[in-house]
Amino acid sequence: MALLEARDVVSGYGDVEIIHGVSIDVASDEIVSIIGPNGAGKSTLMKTLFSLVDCWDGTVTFRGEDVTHDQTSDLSRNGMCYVPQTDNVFPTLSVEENLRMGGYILGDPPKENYERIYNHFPILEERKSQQAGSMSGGQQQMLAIGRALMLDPELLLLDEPSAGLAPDLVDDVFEKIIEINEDDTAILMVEQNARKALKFSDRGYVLEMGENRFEDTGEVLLNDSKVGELYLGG
Amino acid sequence: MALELQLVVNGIVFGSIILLASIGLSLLYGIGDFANFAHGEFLTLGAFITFAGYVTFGLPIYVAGLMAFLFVGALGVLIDRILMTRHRDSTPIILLILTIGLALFLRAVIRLQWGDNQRTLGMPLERGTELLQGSVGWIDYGIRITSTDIAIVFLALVLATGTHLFLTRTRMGIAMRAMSDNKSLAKVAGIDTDTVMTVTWALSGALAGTGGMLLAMQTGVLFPRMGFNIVLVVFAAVILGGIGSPYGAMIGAYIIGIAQEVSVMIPGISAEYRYAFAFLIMIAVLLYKPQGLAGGRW
Amino acid sequence: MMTDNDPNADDSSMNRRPILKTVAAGGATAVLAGCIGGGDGGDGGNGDGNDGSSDGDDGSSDSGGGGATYDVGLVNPYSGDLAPFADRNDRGSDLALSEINNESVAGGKINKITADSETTSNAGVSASQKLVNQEGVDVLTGPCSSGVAVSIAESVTIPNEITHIMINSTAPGITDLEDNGYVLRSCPSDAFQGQALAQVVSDNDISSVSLIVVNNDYGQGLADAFQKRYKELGNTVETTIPAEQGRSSYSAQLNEADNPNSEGIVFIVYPQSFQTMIREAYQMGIQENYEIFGAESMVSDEVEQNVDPVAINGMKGTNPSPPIESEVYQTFAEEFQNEYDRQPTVWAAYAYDAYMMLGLAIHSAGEYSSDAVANAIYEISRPEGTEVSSIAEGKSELDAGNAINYQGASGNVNLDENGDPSGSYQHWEVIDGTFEMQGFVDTGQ
Repeated sequence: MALLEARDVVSGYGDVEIIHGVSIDVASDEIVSIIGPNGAGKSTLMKTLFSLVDCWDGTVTFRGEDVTHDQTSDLSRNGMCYVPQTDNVFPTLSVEENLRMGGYILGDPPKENYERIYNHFPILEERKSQQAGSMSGGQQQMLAIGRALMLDPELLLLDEPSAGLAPDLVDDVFEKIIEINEDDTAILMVEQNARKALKFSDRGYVLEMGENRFEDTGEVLLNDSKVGELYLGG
Repeated sequence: MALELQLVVNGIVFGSIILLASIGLSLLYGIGDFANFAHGEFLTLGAFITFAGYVTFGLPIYVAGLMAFLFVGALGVLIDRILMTRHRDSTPIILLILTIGLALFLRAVIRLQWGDNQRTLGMPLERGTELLQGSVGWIDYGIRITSTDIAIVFLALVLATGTHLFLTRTRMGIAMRAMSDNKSLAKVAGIDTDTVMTVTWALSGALAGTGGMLLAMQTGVLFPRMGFNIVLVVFAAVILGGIGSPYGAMIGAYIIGIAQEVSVMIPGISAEYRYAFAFLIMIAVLLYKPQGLAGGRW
Repeated sequence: MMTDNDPNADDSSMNRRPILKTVAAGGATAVLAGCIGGGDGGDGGNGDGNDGSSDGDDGSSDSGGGGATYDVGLVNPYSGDLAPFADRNDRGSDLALSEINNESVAGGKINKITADSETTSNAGVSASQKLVNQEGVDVLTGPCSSGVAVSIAESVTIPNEITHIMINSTAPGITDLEDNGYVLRSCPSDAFQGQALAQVVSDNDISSVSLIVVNNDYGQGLADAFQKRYKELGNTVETTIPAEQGRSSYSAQLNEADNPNSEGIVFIVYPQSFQTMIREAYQMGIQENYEIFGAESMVSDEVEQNVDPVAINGMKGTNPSPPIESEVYQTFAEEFQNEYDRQPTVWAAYAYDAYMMLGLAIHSAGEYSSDAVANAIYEISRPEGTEVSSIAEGKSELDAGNAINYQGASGNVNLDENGDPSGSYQHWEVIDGTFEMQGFVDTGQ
């Protein structure tokens, strides 16, 4: 049984259906990437999995339990955390305060939680008193991931972690993601940098027009000529 | 034209009175995204609770003030749990009408309980102590201060500092700032935004309740419209400081307070126009910094 | 001045005309002339007397059958700044009404319908609109503050041709309203009080003052009259500082009044604002350096009860005062004391007189309508008439065909052509926190 199982998920905004029955699995310790063209519904799918968008039909199970209509805060509590694509830090709060808010559910999070994150991202410890909004985009992205890690989740949902970053920073972020995964956290992420992402992903899904198109290991997808031509920019 | 330091002192006292109301109003706006038009009535209620404690029950004035702090804070919780919790996602216009309705309702309750006639706190009269006397050049530094003046400024500053510590040191306070920064991220992070809103109402009410006590101590006279009469100035302070920023509101309160007192020294500006002058300052600042002094920051 | 093309007036006088012609044939023209002229000539008096007598006959036959009810509105400040005045108006008018309704006038009783002006123009106007449009009153009395009264007169009573008897509105400007004779008052204009106050300040050897004035018609009017007379007496007004009602602090105004050239400060403000002001003034030490004076608006239980005596002791001012030595006033005061267990204020006397005059005017006109009252009310208090001071006396003189001169509790209430009575004033001083009257002011005019 997979850690996360989404079956025939249908969702959208208002009257507009965007996801037309998508199924996805994430096993423990896996890195899974969702790729696809703009407007494929990748971000909407992530938000649906995290209950930020209502799931109209289908089911989502996490650790064997039906969490289709669970509250966001319950999902966090139970080990699923989410990092939005943009506006993913509290800009006027300090780095440390951002992390503290990440662990809000725990009451006051223990020191180890901070230390674990500072181990992954030493720059955050250096700048723990700095206002988050005044940091660079890469640092903010680290902080955003760090915030989500405060609860030590089993599954981390990342919506385009490399968005808007310079190429060398993209590699940095991906390195950190692999590092986090090695710490027993499964990763499900949406990526525009599809080629790079698939390289280190255990498996990948290609979404188009709100439907599953391809699904395989990262390596197979990378080498699939059709996928390459259509979705990886040749 | 001489600068009379006394006017500056008067401005600081008045600024202190509107300070607490300004902080609470700004917190509610920043965190809940709506302007609480019932804030004036919170002040009035604070004044009348003080009256009830001090005059009706004969308690010491500061115990009566503590009652105002607790009672109006509790009222804030009640309002949030009963009324506002159903309107977390309502449009601004609905929230606007809702708080206006709330204002009228509260004023009616105040009228029912304490009547329409003015009441008097009846605190002993005190002649101001002359601290300084004389002038240097064009500055007249003659100052007279009463112990009430000092108490007002002191209490306001203590509560403002307390609020600052709460906002920066406690989990709930930081959550309030986080929610003001980014409400949807706060939800994503698992912050219980509903409870944060309730606490914000409580804090905002408690501060306004104490502000009402200071207002009653200063004027000595209580009447059902007393809070409403100054709420526009409170709004001016909040907007000047940068709406939604409690720290901006603190600065705004003192600027507005001092500006409107000092305005009478400008030849041709009669005391009648001092409120207008306060708004003129506000408009001037907004022309220069359209988002207010805090510029959209805390 | 009256208009004779008013449709209501035509309706009512249409029915009257045959009676006038038969009963008072000779006087009819004079009556109409008198009415149209708004009482500018005493020679209409006889005609009016006849008119009154004929209608009085109708009236007495009506009263046998139970009688009509005349709805009169009272817009009263039950809330707001001038709330203390509401009770005075109610007590005074109720005292008059018990006498009127005991006797019945023109065969009917007056029914007073009240509404709250909240001491604001908005609320006052909507309250009077309700009285006029929904309750259908023909005569409106009140409200209190002159500013509110002017708003009501301009937007409700004058356009609707409703006779408007103001009880407490003393602003001089009301004299000059273009009211076609529909607006009159039972209290004297502040032009007279301003003169009296100027006299008192001047008599205290204070030759330069700062004025703090509530910025409405009342304050402006009184201040203007004060200033004019005070200067005539050879003194100077240094500054006139407007003050808005209901503010939390007046330190700016007081600072402005704190003027080394002034010897005194004159407060022309309402009790509520005054309490805040005088408190701040005391804190600033104003009382040490200046003689302080106040207009009649200050004289109130609230100020006596709520202001620490040390802040107001020695303050002086004027107050409109009824001729307390007169028999009429003493009878009124006695009845008032019996009814309410307290001494009346001058305002209660004005309210009392307003309703007494209204009652006599209805009886004199023999009917109740706005125009009938507006015409008759000038005629029941002319110096030429027989002096009367009760409804019973008035009725019997009117029924006998005689002109009457109502002597009110507040004075002779002879209305001039603008509908203003002249007043009499006492000067007061605060002694041990209480306003003590010191005798009548001789304005030397």
